[in-house]
Amino acid sequence: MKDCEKYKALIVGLMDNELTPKEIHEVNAHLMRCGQCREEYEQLKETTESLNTMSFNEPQDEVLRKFWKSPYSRWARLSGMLLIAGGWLVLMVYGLIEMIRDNSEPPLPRIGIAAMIIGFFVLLIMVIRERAVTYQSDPYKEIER
Amino acid sequence: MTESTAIQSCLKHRDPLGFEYLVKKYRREAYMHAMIFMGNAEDAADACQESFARAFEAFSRLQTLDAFYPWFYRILKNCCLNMLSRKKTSDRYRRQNIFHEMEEETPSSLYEKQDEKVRIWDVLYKLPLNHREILIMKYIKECRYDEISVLLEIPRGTVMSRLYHARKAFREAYESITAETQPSKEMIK
Repeated sequence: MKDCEKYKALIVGLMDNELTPKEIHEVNAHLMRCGQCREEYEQLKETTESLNTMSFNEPQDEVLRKFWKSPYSRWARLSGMLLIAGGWLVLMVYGLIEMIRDNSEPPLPRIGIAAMIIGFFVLLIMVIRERAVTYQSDPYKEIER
Repeated sequence: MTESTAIQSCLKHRDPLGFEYLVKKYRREAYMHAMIFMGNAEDAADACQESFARAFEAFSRLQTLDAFYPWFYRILKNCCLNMLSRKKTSDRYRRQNIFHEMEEETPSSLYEKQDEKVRIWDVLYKLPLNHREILIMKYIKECRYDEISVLLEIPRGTVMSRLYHARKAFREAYESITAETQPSKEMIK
């Protein structure tokens, strides 16, 4: 019945105590005269009772604490890393310039500095290459971060 | 601090302390909602972490905000759906994350109740997302219709009709799962 369709949603509202007095009166009046809707009401009531037994595993506080890291700590960590990396880079460039300019230095420290600089660039290239390979096969790359 | 002062301090000064207040207030609720979509604790926690970080970034683009959670819920839901679609695994539901396992010395009557709970959760995770979402909001979170209406951005009448269809779908799925498990129990006997 077309009329019944209108009352089906209201039956749910009646069960959940969410109806206005006027709606309660309307739906009760309909239930009095419609056996099919009364049957539906009983079935939905049984389902609602099952659903009301559901419980949920509350998360531990440690889990909840991980949800938010203050941006201060992220900025501090990032700036610390940038300072260390920047300092290293300045020293290496300085060492390289000094090595080129000053021929009086003994060969051993010059070889040491040259090895460090070459090593740094080899590692840098390797990291960039690995990043590029990972990016191509990263299943999450389209996710906005 | 109240929610409105926290929102104001975030909007005007982008104050992380104001945002931290909002996180502490809503993180439990967010976790529960993330579980609706993700179906396991690890992914739900990841989704919450990412959503809060995104929300903090998004605050700078806002001019006004009346209530935090309905706005955040949209970010959380999008984030969860995004994670699910990228992971491409439809079955991420792991029941041991959702409620506690019973101890060995638990009486058998409690085991039966536990079995029933297990079955209800199994059924819920077989339902379409919009049905599961509204049923968990109503029966676990015990949200009122007006709260559901705000979170899902649907009118009160639609909340009622969606709950009606969700309950019907739940009943059908429950009956089919019960029918599937019944013969195997008899075979064990």
